[in-house]
Amino acid sequence: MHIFEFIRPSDQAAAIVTAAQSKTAQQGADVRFMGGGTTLIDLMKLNVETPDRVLDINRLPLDKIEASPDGGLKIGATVRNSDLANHPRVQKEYSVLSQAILNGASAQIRNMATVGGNLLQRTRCVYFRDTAMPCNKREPGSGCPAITGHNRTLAILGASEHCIATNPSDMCVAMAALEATIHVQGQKGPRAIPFSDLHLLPGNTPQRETVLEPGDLITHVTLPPPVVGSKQLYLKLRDRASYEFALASAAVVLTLAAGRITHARIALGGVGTKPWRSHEAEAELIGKAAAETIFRQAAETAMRGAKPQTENRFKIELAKRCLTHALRTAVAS
Amino acid sequence: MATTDSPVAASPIGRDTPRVDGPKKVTGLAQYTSDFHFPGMLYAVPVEATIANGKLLKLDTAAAEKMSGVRAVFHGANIGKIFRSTQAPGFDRVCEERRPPFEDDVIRYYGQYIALAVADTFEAAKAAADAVRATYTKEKPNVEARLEAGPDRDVVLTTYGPVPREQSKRGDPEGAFAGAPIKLDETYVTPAETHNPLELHATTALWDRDMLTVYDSTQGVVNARSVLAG
Amino acid sequence: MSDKDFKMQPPDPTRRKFLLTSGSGVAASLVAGYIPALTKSDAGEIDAAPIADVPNIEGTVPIALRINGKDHQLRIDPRTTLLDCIRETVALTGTKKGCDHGQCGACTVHVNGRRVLSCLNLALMHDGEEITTVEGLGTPEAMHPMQASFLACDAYQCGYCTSGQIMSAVALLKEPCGPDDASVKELMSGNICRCGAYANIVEAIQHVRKRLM
Repeated sequence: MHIFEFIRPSDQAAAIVTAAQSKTAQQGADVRFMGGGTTLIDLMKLNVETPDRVLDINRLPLDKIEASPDGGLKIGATVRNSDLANHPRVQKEYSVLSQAILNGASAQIRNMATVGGNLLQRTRCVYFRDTAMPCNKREPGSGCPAITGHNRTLAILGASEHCIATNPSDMCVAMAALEATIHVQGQKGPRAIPFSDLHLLPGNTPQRETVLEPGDLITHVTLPPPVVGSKQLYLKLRDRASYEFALASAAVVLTLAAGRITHARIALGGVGTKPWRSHEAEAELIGKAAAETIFRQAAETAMRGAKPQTENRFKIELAKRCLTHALRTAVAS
Repeated sequence: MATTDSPVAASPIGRDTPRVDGPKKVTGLAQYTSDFHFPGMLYAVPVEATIANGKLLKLDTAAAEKMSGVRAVFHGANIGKIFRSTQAPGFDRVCEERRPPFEDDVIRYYGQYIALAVADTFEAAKAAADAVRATYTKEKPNVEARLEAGPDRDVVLTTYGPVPREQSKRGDPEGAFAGAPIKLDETYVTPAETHNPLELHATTALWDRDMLTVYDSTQGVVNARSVLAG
Repeated sequence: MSDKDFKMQPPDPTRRKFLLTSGSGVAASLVAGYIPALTKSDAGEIDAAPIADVPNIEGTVPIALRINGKDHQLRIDPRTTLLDCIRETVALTGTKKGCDHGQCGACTVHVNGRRVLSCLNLALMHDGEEITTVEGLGTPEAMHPMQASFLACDAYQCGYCTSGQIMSAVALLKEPCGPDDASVKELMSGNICRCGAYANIVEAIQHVRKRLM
């Protein structure tokens, strides 16, 4: 591990001022916030992340879950994943989020991981995690060995010729379907980022994963008022029954009236370079009578344009079946 | 019936008996190799080859050696003479790693040790190991999945014991297949499986004048001792 | 090879500081004899080994940890994980390093009562906090019910994952978990057992849960 200075900022403002000195907030940052450490310490041990300064933000007052004035929910950035998943309001009104979190990682990791950290979770691509390998995310221009190498778990949506790394988060898929808003405090003051705008496609700059700039501290996430009477489901398909990343996953939030779908939000995991909200699939569903053919059509639409890698053509059909099954199960619940 | 005073009263036959090491294992007192601590103990972390086949051209240890807490970085040029152990009679076909560490510049497998960083703490040793830079010439590794036949395809010799003995002999499979009433010709492939206990590989070594005590996790305690003493 | 038996010196109960000499060069021979890292009295108390003082490593920082009810004032390299601090600095070796990357669960400890992976935490993150390790749950003479249940159900083979399994299982007792085996398996999925003692581990946990229910 690269030697670093460990700093516990006394307050949020001090944290931001110090973090703003980093040359980037993206891959290669020399100043990093540390929440649970479940991603950062893992990558620091691999020398993929080599910050000179680590800012421990765990003792800042960002750990509450509160009602928002508009009837939604305000979730502090250092709230632990397990606390979020087990919160009564989340279980009752935003159950897809609870399901998604509980499907992720292990109990110990869920106890450590923060909401802010999970939003910024890094890819599990083996080439990214191995500094002996070229990687355009770590070293722009060095190449992407995954494209011709081991890519079974990598992305089939949103990839580029420079990077095919999957976003591995479950929580993010649910937050995309719930249309969360990310609240950031930065050098220039606060701003609110709609969930879909937080993560970037790799394009030809895979080293840039989010819109965050140096000094930007995620302070909280807000969820809009709950969709009344909604049926919510998170379905995760993977090689093991537990403690394994998704090959394909789906978060669905639906409402029905007289058998017709009146509200639909769909997001996919395990298949995209960012959490994959599918407006196209939603358009296929809204206003239609809930039926197997409609679910399947939405799934086909969601995966239109998917580009398989050499080892994961199966993901296209798997993702379609995942979404179809999730819709069918949610409607029947 | 035997009483508690009788020496044969506590026979374990036919009854649930907790393992004698059980109490230590469930209370964290059982000591595994890396649990031993000694005053002044140093930590050594290996540097591992990141190619699977080829030659080590250059090893740059200058930065690693200068790092705080680092005592030494050992490699082929400075580790001194380590002799190969002699082979016991009858064991000449046993496949095992008999090459002493850093013996030559040939890289035979991914992860082969090419240097060893020694420091006061694990963190310092690991950082030093990570700071060693190796340059290689790379060659294509042999990842052929099919097994090759030995020099004599039809006879399998036992590989253990003082004298090679015939263990089995190939019959006439082609003839048997040709004459079989029902023929099935299929190829089944199983993936490579490696035995990976959860315990980390670690060795703790303690010199007392000319006596070396080694703590290791191995089934082959006698083998290990022979190789080290040789 | 000498045929004299190597005689271990008897355990030395006095505390002794590690002395690390400065300078580079080839490592010198280590000290003769050995002092075990833990001295165990008959009553089952465990005194942690001497504090590892690292005066010659630049950037060491002070940290206070309360481990199993005992306060420790230490100086450590900031890179030291909670796991290595527990195992190497304080020499409490009941907690095991299995993968060092948060994938096996052998390093599970409790911080402020919650189970976490000590290999994915910096020790400094927990400055001033309460840590519980397997040694703090009980001793062979006075076991925690979960330890006793693991013993009775033979819920281990090599025993390397066992500390982590037990720490996870004890924490599970206070977490929302369905009554069935499948729920226990799901909540214990972060602890890997290469020997495959899972069936007995689940049985041991369910025994304790049913006594409590």
